[in-house]
Amino acid sequence: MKKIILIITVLLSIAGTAFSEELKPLDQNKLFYSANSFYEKRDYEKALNEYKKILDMGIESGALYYNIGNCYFKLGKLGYAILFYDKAERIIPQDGDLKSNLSYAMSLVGASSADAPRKNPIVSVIKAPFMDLNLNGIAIFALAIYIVFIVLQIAGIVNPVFAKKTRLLYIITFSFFVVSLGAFAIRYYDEDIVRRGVVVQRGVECRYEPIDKSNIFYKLQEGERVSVLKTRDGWRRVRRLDGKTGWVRQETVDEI
Amino acid sequence: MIYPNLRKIGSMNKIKNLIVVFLALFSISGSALAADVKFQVQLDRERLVLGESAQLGLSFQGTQSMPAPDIGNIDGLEVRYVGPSTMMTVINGQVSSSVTHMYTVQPLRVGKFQIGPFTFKYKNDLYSSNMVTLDVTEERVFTPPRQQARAEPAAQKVNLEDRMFVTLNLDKPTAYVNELIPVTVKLYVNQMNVSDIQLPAFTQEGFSKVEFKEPKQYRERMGGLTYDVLEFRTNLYATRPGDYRVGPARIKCNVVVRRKAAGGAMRDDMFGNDQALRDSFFDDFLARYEKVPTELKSDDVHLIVSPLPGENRPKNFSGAVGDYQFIYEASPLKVKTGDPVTVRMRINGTGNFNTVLSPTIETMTGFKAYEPEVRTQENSKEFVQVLIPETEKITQVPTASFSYFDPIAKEYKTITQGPIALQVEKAKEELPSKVVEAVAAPSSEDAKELVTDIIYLKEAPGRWRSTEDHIYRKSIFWLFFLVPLIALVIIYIVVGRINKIKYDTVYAARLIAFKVSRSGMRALKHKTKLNDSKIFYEELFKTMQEYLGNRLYLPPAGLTFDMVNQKLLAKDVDAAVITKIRNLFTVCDEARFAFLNFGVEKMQDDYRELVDVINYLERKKL
Repeated sequence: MKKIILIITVLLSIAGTAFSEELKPLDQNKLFYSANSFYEKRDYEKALNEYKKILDMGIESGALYYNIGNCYFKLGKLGYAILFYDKAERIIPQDGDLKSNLSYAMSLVGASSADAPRKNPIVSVIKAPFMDLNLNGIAIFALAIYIVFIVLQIAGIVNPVFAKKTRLLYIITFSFFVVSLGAFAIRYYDEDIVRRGVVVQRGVECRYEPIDKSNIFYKLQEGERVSVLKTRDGWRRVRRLDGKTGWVRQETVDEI
Repeated sequence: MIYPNLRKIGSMNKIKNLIVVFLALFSISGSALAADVKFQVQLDRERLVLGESAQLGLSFQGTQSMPAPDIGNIDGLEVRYVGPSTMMTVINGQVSSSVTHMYTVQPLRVGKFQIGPFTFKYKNDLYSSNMVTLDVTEERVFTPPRQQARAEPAAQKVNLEDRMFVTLNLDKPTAYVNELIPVTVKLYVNQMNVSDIQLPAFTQEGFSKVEFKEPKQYRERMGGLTYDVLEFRTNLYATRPGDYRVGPARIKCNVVVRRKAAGGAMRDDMFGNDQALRDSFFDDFLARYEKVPTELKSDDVHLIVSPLPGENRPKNFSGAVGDYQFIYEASPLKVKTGDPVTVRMRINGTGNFNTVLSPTIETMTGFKAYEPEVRTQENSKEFVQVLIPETEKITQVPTASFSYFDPIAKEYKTITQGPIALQVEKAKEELPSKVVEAVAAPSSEDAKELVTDIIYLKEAPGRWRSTEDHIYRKSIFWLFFLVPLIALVIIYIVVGRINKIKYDTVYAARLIAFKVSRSGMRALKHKTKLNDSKIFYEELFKTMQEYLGNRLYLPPAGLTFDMVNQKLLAKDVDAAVITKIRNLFTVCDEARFAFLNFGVEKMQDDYRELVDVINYLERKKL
């Protein structure tokens, strides 16, 4: 048993080393703290510029998106605030401050979680245990469980007595693996396959066709979440939560 | 929207009824108290001509587990039990059920008969019913036209229109523009099997869209007939004045038609008439049922819609018509400049909320105002508006007013609320970096009320990562899935093979045979070069003996051709191969025991022969 634990530990540590790509904090920390000081002086525009310089470096963090969201909130741009809170949520979904600010911003634009369409209860049950993990976290969890399962299988093949003793453990491990894989697939679909967007301007008119003269189908509220189906010639084809699709100017909806 | 099988009446399908009974038994509370059960007696007609029959129903509302009561003999009437009929309705998740025990009543003489009241004791509970009367005459009564029949359908024959019809009713004959008018549509069904009832539909130009809610279901007695009634209610309002004919309301449904064989000919028996009721229990199983789509139409109704008066109309009147109250609140009442103040304006009351717009706040000077958020509920509409004071000179949230037209008082009314005192402090320029209000994510309405600003920024950047840092997109991630799987497969195969060798002696001997043959053949090849036939054939015999012994699962020591031959014949081995083996045995004996010398060519030939034999036996399934 000790050998098995050792093997699992070694494999997981190898995996961890292989996947970790910790970036060296060079200028980004300096920029981040500089932006924070602008924010503290209520100079939100300058703070925002500093934060965005970090994004331009191809670097991100949950705290960075959160702070950008705060800047936009203070500047009265609630749509952008919600957009960046949503981006932060993908990295630090468990953050209580983030949940609070996002909820508050949404309440101000008149949106709430109650507006969202009803979700499949099975999907909700599968997702529930992993709500506090981001997609990378779920992937690593699934891999770890998978490796444990395989090691147990190998141990069981080599030593049938061990297999009989740990049958329940096999079932539990396998169940965990299936559920985590399911949660990964659902989250991957939600975040990577379906392109989500947030309306960043007020009173956005959604039209039947990607032409300015086309009839208005419906209006979108600032901060409203939509699915972005297509982007073409300065227009985006979006789908509202109720399933209605239409075209909006590209700059009015930003992708998460 | 379709309501499938809202109604199951009659003994149309016993199996379905059984299912309904079981469903009802499970869904209805098992503790159906006697107090909750109503015992009623109904007759399908109050007058009969001698020779005709009526249908008597003893119904128990609120239960389906009630046996048929023994009603004894009624003087002058012959009463026969037909069977039970169950009904279950599910509306908005509320289940109600009933069982009706049906009897046919055949008068034996002319006269007025009292049926009931009955008392019935079941499981220590006593149930008492009402009483009904039956008038039996000798002469046939004239059948009145439809409208009269509906009021007094005592005749012996009832039309389809009287068995199933729709009514439309408006609660008021006159109304103002935008005034809510309650509308009731009722579907009456008398002893017919109706399913897939759709919501009533009618389009009316100059009126709001009509959307009916879930119906109520109950029984109603009218003109001597007992109807199952579905009552649909909604509100509509006129968008312009005029003299209107509202309706007709239309309801689509399916009527279940019974087709049965009678003397070889098929005939419709659409209305579940008396003959059908007298049919035997088993006829129900033999009959076929078909759904006939039907659309029922009500009469239209006259309505006069008056315009709203032009005089004394308030400036901020937005079209709200009804009777409303206005609640005006703001929080927090002590803020710093730049902090949001949430203003709640709730309109309660009765009336048309579609035309209720946000109350007007007197002046917004000194405030930065956001668009109000609207929350509509039944009989209330709330407008939540965020105001941000931009200067510390502000001392109050301004007054707000809401105007509406009261159709009962027939006048415009304006409710003014506020102002609300507000204390605004100037925000300090240099605030220490601290959390403004560290509240957790709101999980309830109360928590939401407490949130007045966002939580402060993150002071540490956290873990930096590349914007493209997704481990599941890296091939090494999937390699970590693949490698253990391959390892598992390899280990499974290896361990399986080891176990097979360990426990399957025949298989193990076969593996040894092949191994021995390979090493033996190498030795033989080497000994061919020595040109010593005795040594060569001793080695050849040893190789052949060990190979055949292991391959055929025979003891290698003392192996003879006869033993080999016997085994090979049993395994259906090619005769040419057996001959080759016999020749090899013979030549080995000659070289080993008769000391005959053979040349290199002969040794090489025999070597090849042995190779052929081994190759053949390796391929052959023995």
